Amino acid sequence: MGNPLLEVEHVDAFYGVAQALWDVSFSVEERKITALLGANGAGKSTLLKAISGVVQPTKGRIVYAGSPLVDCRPEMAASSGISHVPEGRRLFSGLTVLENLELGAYLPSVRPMTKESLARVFGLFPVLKTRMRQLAGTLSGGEQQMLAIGRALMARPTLLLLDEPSLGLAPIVVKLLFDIIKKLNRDGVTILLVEQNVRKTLEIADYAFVLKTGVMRMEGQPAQLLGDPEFRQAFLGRIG
Amino acid sequence: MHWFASFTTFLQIFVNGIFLGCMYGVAAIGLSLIFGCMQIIFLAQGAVMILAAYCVFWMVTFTPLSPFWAFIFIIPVFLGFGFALYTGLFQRVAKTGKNPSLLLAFGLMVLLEHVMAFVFSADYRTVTTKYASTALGLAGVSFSVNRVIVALVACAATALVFLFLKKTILGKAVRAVSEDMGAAALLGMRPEWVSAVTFSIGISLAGVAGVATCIIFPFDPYFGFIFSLKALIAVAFGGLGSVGGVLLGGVILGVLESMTSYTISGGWADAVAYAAFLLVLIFRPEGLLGRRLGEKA
Amino acid sequence: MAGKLNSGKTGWAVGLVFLAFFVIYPFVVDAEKSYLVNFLYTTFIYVALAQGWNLAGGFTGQVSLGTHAFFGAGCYVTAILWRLKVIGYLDPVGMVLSGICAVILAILIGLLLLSKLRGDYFALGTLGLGEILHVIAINGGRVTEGPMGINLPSDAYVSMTYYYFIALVIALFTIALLLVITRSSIGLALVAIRENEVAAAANGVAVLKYKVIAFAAGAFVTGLCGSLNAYYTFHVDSAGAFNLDWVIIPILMTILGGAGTFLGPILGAFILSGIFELANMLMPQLHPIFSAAFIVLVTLFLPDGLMKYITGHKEGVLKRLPLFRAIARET
Repeated sequence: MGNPLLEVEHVDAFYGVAQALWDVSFSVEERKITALLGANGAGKSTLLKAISGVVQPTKGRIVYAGSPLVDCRPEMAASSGISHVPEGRRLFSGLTVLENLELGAYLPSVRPMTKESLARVFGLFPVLKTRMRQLAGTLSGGEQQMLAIGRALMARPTLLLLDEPSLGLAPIVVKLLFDIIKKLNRDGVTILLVEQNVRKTLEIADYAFVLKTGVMRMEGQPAQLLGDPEFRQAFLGRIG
Repeated sequence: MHWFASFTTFLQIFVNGIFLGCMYGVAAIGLSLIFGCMQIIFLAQGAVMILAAYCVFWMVTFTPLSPFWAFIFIIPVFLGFGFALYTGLFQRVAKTGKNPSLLLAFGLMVLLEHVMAFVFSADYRTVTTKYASTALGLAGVSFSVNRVIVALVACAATALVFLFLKKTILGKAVRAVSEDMGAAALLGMRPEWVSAVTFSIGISLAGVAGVATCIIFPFDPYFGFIFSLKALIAVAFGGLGSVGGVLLGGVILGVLESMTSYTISGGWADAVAYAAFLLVLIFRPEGLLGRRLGEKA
Repeated sequence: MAGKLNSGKTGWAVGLVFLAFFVIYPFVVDAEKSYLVNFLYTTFIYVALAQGWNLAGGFTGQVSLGTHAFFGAGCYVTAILWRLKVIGYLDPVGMVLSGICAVILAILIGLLLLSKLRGDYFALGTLGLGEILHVIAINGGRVTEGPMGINLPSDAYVSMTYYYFIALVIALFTIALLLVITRSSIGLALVAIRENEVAAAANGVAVLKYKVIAFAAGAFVTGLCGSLNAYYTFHVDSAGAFNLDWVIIPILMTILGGAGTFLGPILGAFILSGIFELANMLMPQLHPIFSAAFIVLVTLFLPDGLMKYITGHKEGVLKRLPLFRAIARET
C-alpha cells in the first residue's frame, strides 16, 4: 500500500435534508487513479462534494495530505490543491473558453503560471485552442467536458475529482477523454473518478470502491471486482 | 397631444432624451451589477444617488470647487461606502435568501431618505455650474454644455466598467460569480469578496449618476425611489449581461420620456415608462441586448 | 395526546379572550376620544392587509409589491361611487363592490403577469401596476379630480365605533379566510407551489390557477380596506391612496411575524403598530427614521420572522410562557 493522499473516515453527510452517506470510509492513494462506482443516487456526488467542501460532513472526518479538513469551504479546498469538476460541468457559459480557463488559474498561488498552464491545457486539448474566443455555452458536449477538465487543471491540482465526465458523451469522445485522464495521471495528478461507465473506468483505474445507497459496499482492484459475482451481477448484468 | 413644431424641435427633444438617458444608464449599470451578485433588485440605488447629490451640494456650498470635480472624488468615496454597506449589512443576509436581502435594500432606501430629509431638510436643492447657461449649437439644436459633459462622463464610466469586467481577472471573477457562484468557489474565488467588490462598484456608479443628476436637476430626498424604478426600467429595456446594452436601455428610456413629456405631459411620461416596462417584462424579458434577468445564459 | 388537545384548546381560548376584549372595550370607554380604540382600528386594518398579503406572498411564495394598487383602487371606487350617490355612507354594498373591483384587477393582472413572469419580475410588475394606477389617478380629470383628489361629505360621520367594528369584522373575515384556505386542499396546493413549483406542476397542480386565487383573495381584502379608508378619511387622493406605505408596512408586518405562518401577520401587525405608535409618541420627528431603522434591524436579525423563532428555539425563555407555548402548538 502506498501513501494515501486522501482519507475519508466514517463520514455521514446530507444532501439537503436527506441523508446521503452513512459511515463512509475510503482512501485515495497518491498518484493513482481511484474509481468510485455506484448507481444513480448512491451518494457518489455527495461524497465528492464533501471532499471539496461544498457539503460539510455531519460526522467523521476527511484528511487530506496529512491534515484534516475542518469546516472546509470550496475556496479553501481549491487553494489546498483539490480541483473538483462537478457533475454537469458548470462552465461559465457567458464567458469565452479562454476566460473560463483563465479563471481556472484564479488562485494567487497559480496565477503567475497562467501562461504555462494554458500552454499545457491547449497541448492536451488542442480543440480548445481553436475555440479560444468562443463562448463556452456554444461548445459541443465533448468540448465542454474538455474545457471543464482543462479549467480544473489550470489550478495545477494535486487531487483531481471528476464527477461523471463521460455522461452524455459519444463513445469515441469517451475514449479520448479516458486516454487523457490516464495521461494526466502519468504526469503526476492523483485522480478520484466517479463514473457510471463501469467497463471503461475499470480499464484505467488502479483501485475501485463501490457505493450503494450511501454505504460503502465493496472495494478492490479492477481484476478482483470483475471476478466477483455480486459485482458482476450488479454492474454487468450477469453472473459467471 | 401636442406635436413637434419642426424637425429641429424633434431633434432637440430627442437629444435631451439621450442626455437624460445616459444618467439613467449609469445608475442602471450599477443596478444590474448588484443584481448579478445578489440576485435582487437593489431598490436603494436611487437613494444612494441622491446621497451623492447631497455630497456634491455641500461640497459646492463650502468649497470653491466646481461640481465637476465631484465626479473624481465620489468614485473612491462611494466604493468605500459600498464595501462597508455590503460587509456590514448585506453579507449577513446573503445566505438567508433573496427576500431578506430585498427587504433590507428596501429598508435601507427608506432609512436613507428619511435621514437625509431630517438632516438636510426636505427642500429642493440645486447645484449650478459655471456652464449652466452655456450651450453649443449644432444644426439648430442646442446642446447644453452641462449635459454634454455629464453624458461624456456617463460614457466614460460605462467604458471603464466594461474594460474592468472584460480585461481584469477580478472583473472576470465578478462575471463568473454572478453566473454560477458555486462553480466559482470551486475554482478558488471567494464569493463574499467578489460580491463585495461587485456591490461597491454598483454603489459607486450610483454615486456618479447622482453627481450627474444634481448638476442637471433640482432634487429632494424623496426623488430616489423614482430613480431606482427608472434605472430598473433601463435594465429591463437593455437586458442584463451587457454593459453597453443597459446604457442603451437607459438612453431609450430617456428618449421615450423626453418625447412623451413634450407631446403629452410630464405626468404621462412616467405612466408610459411603466407601461413600456411591463410590456418589455412580459414580451421580451431578455431586453434588447442581453440575457433574461436572472436566467443563466 | 390529551396534552396536545388541551394546548390546541388553550390557543383558541386565548384568542377568544382577546376577541371578547376587543368587542367589549369600545362600549366601556368613550370611543371618540379613546386612544386605544383608534390604535386598534388602525391595527385591525393592518392585520387584514398583512394577512391578505400573506396568502400570496407568504403561503404561495409570490411576493407582490402591489398592495397599494388594490388599496388605492378600493379607495377610488368607493369615493367615486359615493360621490355619484350610487352607494351611501359605510355602505356594505359599496365596500364589497370595491373589493370585487380589486379582485377583477387582480385576476387580469395576475393572469397576465403570473403566467409569464418569474418571482422577482412578478413583484416588479405589481409595483409597476401600482405606479401606473397612481399616474392614472393624477391625470384622471373629472373622474378622479386629479392630484387634489375627491372630497367626500364629512358630515356623514356618526361614530368611531362603526369604523372600529367594521375594521374588526374585516380583520376577522381575513383571518377566517386564511384559516379556511390554508386548511383546505387549496392551501396544500399553495404550499406545494411555494416549495417546488416544478414538482407541483408535475403532480397535476394547476399552478397558475392557484396563484391567481391567492393573489385575488388578498386583493379582495385589500380593496375592502381601501374602501373603509375612504370612508374614514373622507378624502381620497393619489398620494394617499397609492402611497407605498400601504405596500411596505403590511409586508414588513408579515415578515416580522413570519411569512407563511398563520399567526405571524397578526403578531407582526400588533407589534409593529405598537412600535410605530411608541416612536411617534416619544420622538415624533425621528419617527420615520426609527421605523426604517427597525425594518433594517428586523431583516438583519430576524429574517425568518418571530413565529419561526418562537416555534424553533426550544430553549428560548419565551417558550416557557404558557401563552407562547399555546400559540406555538397551535401553529
